[in-house]
Amino acid sequence: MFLTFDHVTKFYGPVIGVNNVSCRIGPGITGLFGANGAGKSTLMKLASGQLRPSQGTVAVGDRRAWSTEAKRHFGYSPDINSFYEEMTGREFIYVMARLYGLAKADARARTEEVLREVGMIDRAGRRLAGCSHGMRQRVKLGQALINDPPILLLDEPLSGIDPGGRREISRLLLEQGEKGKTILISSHILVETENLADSVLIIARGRIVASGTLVEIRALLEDRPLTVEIVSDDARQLAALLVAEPDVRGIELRPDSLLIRTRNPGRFFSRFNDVVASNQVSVVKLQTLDGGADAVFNYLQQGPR
Amino acid sequence: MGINNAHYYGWQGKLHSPWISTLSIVRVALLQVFRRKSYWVVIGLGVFQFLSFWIVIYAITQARLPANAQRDLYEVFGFSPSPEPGEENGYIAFMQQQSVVVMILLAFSGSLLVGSDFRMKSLPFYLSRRIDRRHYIVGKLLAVSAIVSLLTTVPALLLFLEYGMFTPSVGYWRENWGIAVSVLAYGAVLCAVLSILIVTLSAYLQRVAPIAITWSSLFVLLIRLASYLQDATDNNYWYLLDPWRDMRLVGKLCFGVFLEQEEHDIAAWAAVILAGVCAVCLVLLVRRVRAVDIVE
Repeated sequence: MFLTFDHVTKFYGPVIGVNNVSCRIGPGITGLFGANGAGKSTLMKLASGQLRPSQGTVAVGDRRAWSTEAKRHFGYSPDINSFYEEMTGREFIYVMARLYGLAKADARARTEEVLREVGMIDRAGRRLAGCSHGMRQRVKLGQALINDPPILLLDEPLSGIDPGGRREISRLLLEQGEKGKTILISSHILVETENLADSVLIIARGRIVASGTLVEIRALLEDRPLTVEIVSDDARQLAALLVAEPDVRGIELRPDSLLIRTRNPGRFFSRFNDVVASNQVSVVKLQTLDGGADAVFNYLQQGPR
Repeated sequence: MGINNAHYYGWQGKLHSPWISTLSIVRVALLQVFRRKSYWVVIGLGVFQFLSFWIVIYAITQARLPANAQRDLYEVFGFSPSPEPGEENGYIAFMQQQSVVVMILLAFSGSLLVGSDFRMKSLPFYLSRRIDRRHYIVGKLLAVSAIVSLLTTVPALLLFLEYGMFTPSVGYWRENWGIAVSVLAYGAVLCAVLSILIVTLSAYLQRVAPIAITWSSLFVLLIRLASYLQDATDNNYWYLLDPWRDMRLVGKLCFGVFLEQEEHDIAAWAAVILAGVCAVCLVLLVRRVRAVDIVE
C-alpha cells in the first residue's frame, strides 16, 4: 500500500509547516530525516491523518489520510516519552486496541500477540512509570502494530535506546518491512537508521530537499564541497602541488596526512589522478571524510554556502 | 514490490464504530480517578453525605419519630421527599451538596483526565486511531459526566428508591415518578455544565495548580461578585453571575418547584446563561483539540 503526498502544504496561521511536498512512499523502510523544526512531525501527522493539509492531498492507497477508513490501514507511534504513567504496558496497548475499534476478545488476543512480538510479554505487567526508555519505545511500537497495519509511521522509534535494544527494534522493523509493509521512520540522526532504511527523504525548512537511497543522494552531490583525507609519504610536496588546483578550497597539513577541502569533488578527483601520476607522488590512503549520512544531511539541510 | 506480492494480509477482524471507542476513553478515565487513593478522601465526603441522607430517610420512615422531630430532621438536611410548591426540595438540596464534592474532585482530577493529554502531548495516541477530535471530546465529556453522575444522579435516584422502599406501598414511586425524571434532568444539566467547563479549562491550563485555583475562583469569586452587585443595585438579576445559583435554578426548573416567584422568573435566564457559557466553551475546546501545538 502506498502513501502519497501530492503538492502538500500545511500552514499554521502565518507559519508554514510543510511546503509543496510531493512524494510516494511504498513498501519497505523509508527514513525521514530533518533537524528539529524541519517539518518531520508535521509530515508524520499529515500522513497519519491527524492534520489536514492546507493545500494538496495526502492519500493512503486511494483514500484521504484523514478519513476513518484510511486510519484502518496505519499504525502510528508518536515521539513522546511520557504517557499514562499509571497504566501497565499491557493495559495501555489494550486501551489502544479498543480505541482502534477491536472487540474485547480480539483486543485481548492482539495485545498478547503484540507484546510477544515487541519482546515485552514478560514485562507487560509493569507500570509505564517504572519502564525504561527502551521499554516505552517497545510499548509504543506495540500499540502501533495492534491492528497489524500495512503502513507504519514511526516518529523517532530508536531515540534513547541502548545499542542492544536498537538492534532488536531494528530487527523487528526489518521483519515488518520484509512482510511488505510500508514503514516511514522519522529521525533527526541519520546514522541511527542508515543501515535500516531502503530509501531516505530529507526534509529541511518544510521542503523535501532530497529523496532516494543514500548512495544516490551522495552521487547527486558530486559537485558539492567535500573534505578528502590523503595519507602520503610526501604530504608536503603533494600539498604544494594541489594548492595550485582551482577546485581546491583549502589544505590542512597534518603530521601524517593532508586534509583537502574541494569545491567540486568530481573535477578534483580527475585532476588529482593526473597530478599524482605526473609527479610520481605515492599515495597510501585516500578517503572522503564527510561523505557519510550525517554530512549529506547537514549539507542538504544547511544548503549551499 | 506490490502489497499482494509481499503476501501481506492486514487485520481481517470486525471493527466497531468510532463512537463505541469513546466508551474506552470513559473507562480509562474512571480507572485513573478511582485508582488514586488521594481522590478517595473527596469521594469519601460524597459517600458520607449520601449515607447521612440515607440514614435520615431510614429514621423518618422506620423509627416512627414524632412529627416535630421529623420536621426538625427535614429542616436540618433540607430534605423533603415529596416537596410541595414552597417547600425545599430534598433532591435538589442533596444534588447541590454533592455537586460541591464533585467540584472539588474535578478541580484536582481535571489535569489527570484531560490536562495531561495536552501537557504530555499524548493526543496523537487518540487522534491517530479511527477516532477524530469529535470522538475525543465526546469521550472526555462522557468521562467527566460519568464521575458527576456517580456522585449526584445515581445516589439521588438511590434515595428516591429508598424512600419508596420504606413506605408501606409502592404508591410513593407511582405518585412521584416525576421526581425520578427531574433528578435525571437535573443530573444531565450538572453533567453537561460541569463536564464542558472542566474539560475546556483543563485543556487550556493543563496543570493541577492552575486548574484548581481557576476552577475554585470561578465559583467562589463569582458568588461574591454577584452578591456585591446585588447589594449595590438591589437587582436580583445580578445573582445570575453565580454559576452555582444558575445550576440550582435550572434544577428547580427541572423539578418545577420554586420557593419564590422571583426565582421562577430568573430561572429561564439562568438556563440561557449556562447554555451560552457551554456553547462558548465548546467552541474553545474544539479549537484547542488539535494534533499540533503552534509555538510562536
